[in-house]
Amino acid sequence: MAQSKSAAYDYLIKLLLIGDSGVGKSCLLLRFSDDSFTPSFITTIGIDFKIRTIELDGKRIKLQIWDTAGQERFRTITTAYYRGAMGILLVYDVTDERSFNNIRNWFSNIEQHASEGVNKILIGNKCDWVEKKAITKEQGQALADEFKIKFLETSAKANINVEEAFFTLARDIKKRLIDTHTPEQPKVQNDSKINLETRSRFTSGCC
Amino acid sequence: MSDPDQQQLHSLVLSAELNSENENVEQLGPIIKSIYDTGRQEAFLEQLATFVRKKEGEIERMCNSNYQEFVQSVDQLLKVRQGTVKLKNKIIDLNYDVQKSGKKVAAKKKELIQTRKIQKNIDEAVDTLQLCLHVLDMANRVNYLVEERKYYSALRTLEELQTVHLRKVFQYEFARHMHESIPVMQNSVKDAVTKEMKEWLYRVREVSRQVGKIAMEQMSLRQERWKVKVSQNPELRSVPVSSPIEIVMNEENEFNIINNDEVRIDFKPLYQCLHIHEELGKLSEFKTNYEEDRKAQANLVLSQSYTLRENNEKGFEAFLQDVVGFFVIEQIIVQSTQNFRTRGEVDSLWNTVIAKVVKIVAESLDDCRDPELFQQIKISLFTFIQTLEDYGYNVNTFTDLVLIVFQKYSDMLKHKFSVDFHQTIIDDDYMPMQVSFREEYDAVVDACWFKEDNRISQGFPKILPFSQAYPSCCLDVKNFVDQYYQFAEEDSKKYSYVDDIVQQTLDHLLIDHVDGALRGKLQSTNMSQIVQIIINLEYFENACSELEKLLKAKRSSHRGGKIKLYAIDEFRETRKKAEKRIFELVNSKIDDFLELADYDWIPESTHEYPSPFLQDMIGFLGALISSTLYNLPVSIKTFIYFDALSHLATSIRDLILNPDVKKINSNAIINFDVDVTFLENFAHGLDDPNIADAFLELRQIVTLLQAENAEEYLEPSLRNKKYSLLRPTDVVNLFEK
Repeated sequence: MAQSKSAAYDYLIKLLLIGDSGVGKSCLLLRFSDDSFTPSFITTIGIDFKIRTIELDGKRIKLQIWDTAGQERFRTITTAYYRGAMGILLVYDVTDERSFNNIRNWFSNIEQHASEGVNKILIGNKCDWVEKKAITKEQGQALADEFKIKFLETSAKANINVEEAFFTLARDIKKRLIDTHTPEQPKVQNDSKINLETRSRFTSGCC
Repeated sequence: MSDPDQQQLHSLVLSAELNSENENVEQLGPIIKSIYDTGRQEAFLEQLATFVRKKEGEIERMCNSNYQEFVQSVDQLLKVRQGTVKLKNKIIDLNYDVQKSGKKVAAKKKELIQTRKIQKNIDEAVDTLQLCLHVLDMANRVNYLVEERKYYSALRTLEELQTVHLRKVFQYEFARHMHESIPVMQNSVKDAVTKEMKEWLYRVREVSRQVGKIAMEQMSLRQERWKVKVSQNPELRSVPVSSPIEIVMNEENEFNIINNDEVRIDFKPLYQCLHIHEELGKLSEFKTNYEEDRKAQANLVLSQSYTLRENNEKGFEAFLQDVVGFFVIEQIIVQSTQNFRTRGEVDSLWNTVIAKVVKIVAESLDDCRDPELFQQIKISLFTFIQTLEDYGYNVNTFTDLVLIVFQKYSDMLKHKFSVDFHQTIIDDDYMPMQVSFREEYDAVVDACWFKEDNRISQGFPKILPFSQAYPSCCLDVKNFVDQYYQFAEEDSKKYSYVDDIVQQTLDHLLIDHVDGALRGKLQSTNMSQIVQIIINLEYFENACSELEKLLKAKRSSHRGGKIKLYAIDEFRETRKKAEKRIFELVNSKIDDFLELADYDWIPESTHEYPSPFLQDMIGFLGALISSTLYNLPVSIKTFIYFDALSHLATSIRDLILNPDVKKINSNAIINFDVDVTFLENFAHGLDDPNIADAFLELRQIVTLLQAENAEEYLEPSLRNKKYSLLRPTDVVNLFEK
């Protein structure tokens, strides 16, 4: 069972969601992985992940997306996952200025703990909540420009730009790691825990 | 001639002298015959001639001596004859005169007789006319009496007319007509009283509500008075209103319900109608009519509609008042009449009406959502029942209604609770609750029977094991019980099911709403949420026993028995389900990692580190246990490891046994050994003997694959020692690879 599934992809990309507690990281992930949404606010405790297979340029790519707790007390657990991430989504809440201001702290966390060259994207979530909006799109864009990363406003609730956010990041990672390397190279990276693997596919037709 | 003949003849002559006219003639025959027979006729004739001669001589002598006197007599006779003639003439004259005058008298007499006859006829006619006039007069009087509403007199008059007066003039046509019309007149009397009675019934219906209202007001006043009395004299506490003791002791109960400042009902039309029908022998007809009329009126009462939807109890109270008024009047009628309305008939009507009243009230309660209105309704209903009981009606049926009221009230509370609880569940963050101040902490402890244990940190802020939904739900549940008993007041003493209802409803509330809602949440894939549900459920189980105690304390003191909430079993069941759900979710995460497993069974090289997906997985499991699942009891955490690692072991075994894996080379076995060793180390590191052996089967597979002499598997002793967990088919499978 597991094997037949494992044969169904060409590359594995690991992503990480970070940002303040309550900005909607888990909701974004749930929207992306299960296309569902729950209005109740349930804090993520510790760490969680979801897997979704996407197709990019004819390649099947498994995205293993790690969802971290925004709360300070889980910081030790969550920072351990920075290193393995190939892409990071920095999420803030457009209705919560503090979460936006904290992006700088999160960004420096990345600098400190993540692998060098890791792809990043800035996400302003809850953009459907227009009347409560505290951070303009321009402010978000300005910050992203400052960090030289991409930026998107999303809404997990209204399903706005969620696919785009993950796909954009995945595409950038693919460009950076796969398209510029020979297929064999990623395997060696196992040791450095960057699990981008090209796969020697089994000949038998699976799935 | 012979002697005997002589003698015979002689005697004959003698006798002839003596009896000249008769006997001798008869004797003559036989003498002559004997003479003839003897042929002595000659002799006899001679004898006779002799005898005649003798006699002639005697006569001559006699005449000679009496001659003078004879002449004198003739003279006298002549004179008499002369006088007679004269007298005769005189009489004739007289007779003539008399005849003449007599004729006149006779004529007069005849006239007289005729006149007399006429007079008699006239007299008779006058008498008859008098009679007839009287009869007609009476007949008129009947009508007059009816008009004057003196129905009984009218009826008496009719009867007199029929039995006495009409008889006398019965030979006349009009009398017969009148006789025939008597039943008609009786009927008109009957109709008149019936009409009056119906009007009366109508008026009674109009005041019934007022009567009912007053009766109920009187009853509440009476209860108030009794309460005061009881408070002065606690010994009376167990004496209910309407009991003989209360009736004697509670003065001022005397109140005329049908004759007071507000209501006056004169029952005369009814009694009159009853009397008249009785007189006419139509009592049973009247009874039937009356019964139907009252039945119709009762239906009219029952057909009125009211609603409690606008929180308006006026319609409801008017309805109760109508019912009370109706039956109070029935009761008065039963008591004040004889042979008319039996208690049985009223009770039978009562039973049908009351069944409908129960139904109507019960249905209307569905619209009632306001606790205060419920309270008002309950008070009204109790007064209603008490009033009717006081009037001697059987109120046992209302036990059901009281039950329904309590049931509906508790349902309403339950509904209110469920709405609140639904919101609580939505608002809950499924995080251990954090309290920052002593006051807040005390409030929580008070709300949910929380007992501090060593798991709880000292000082503030404090983190409590359960999420905020739990104390908030406990508070709601307590409010539910409190509100219910506030509503019930003292009633549970009288109706034991009042306690049962709250217990059952509370149980349903916990099972359907609390447990049901939490059970529904188990679909979630969020493990921290389910962890919190497990912990909350544990507290809910504990809360159930506390609630049992609370109910026990609330229920009326004289009731014993155990209180058992079945919700506790449901919570336990749900907790097991939630634990199972955690296992499922952890296993699904393991499956997710296995999706990433990428075993190359014929690699060209070996590596010294375990497969990255396994490292990730073990790292994740550790993080999971130490963060997400941290709050779970150790036993469950151990079991999660056990379950997860067994699942992992089986899955990895299935990877290597997969038929798609056609061939395995020695490099692969070395890599596989690294992985299994990594897992074994992790399992041993957990320091739990149950978990340590989780990968024994995998180890045996590795041992078998690395064995220089594969035949040793065939030796039973070695097989049992080294490969006890391997299935022969799997072994064959492995060898093939």
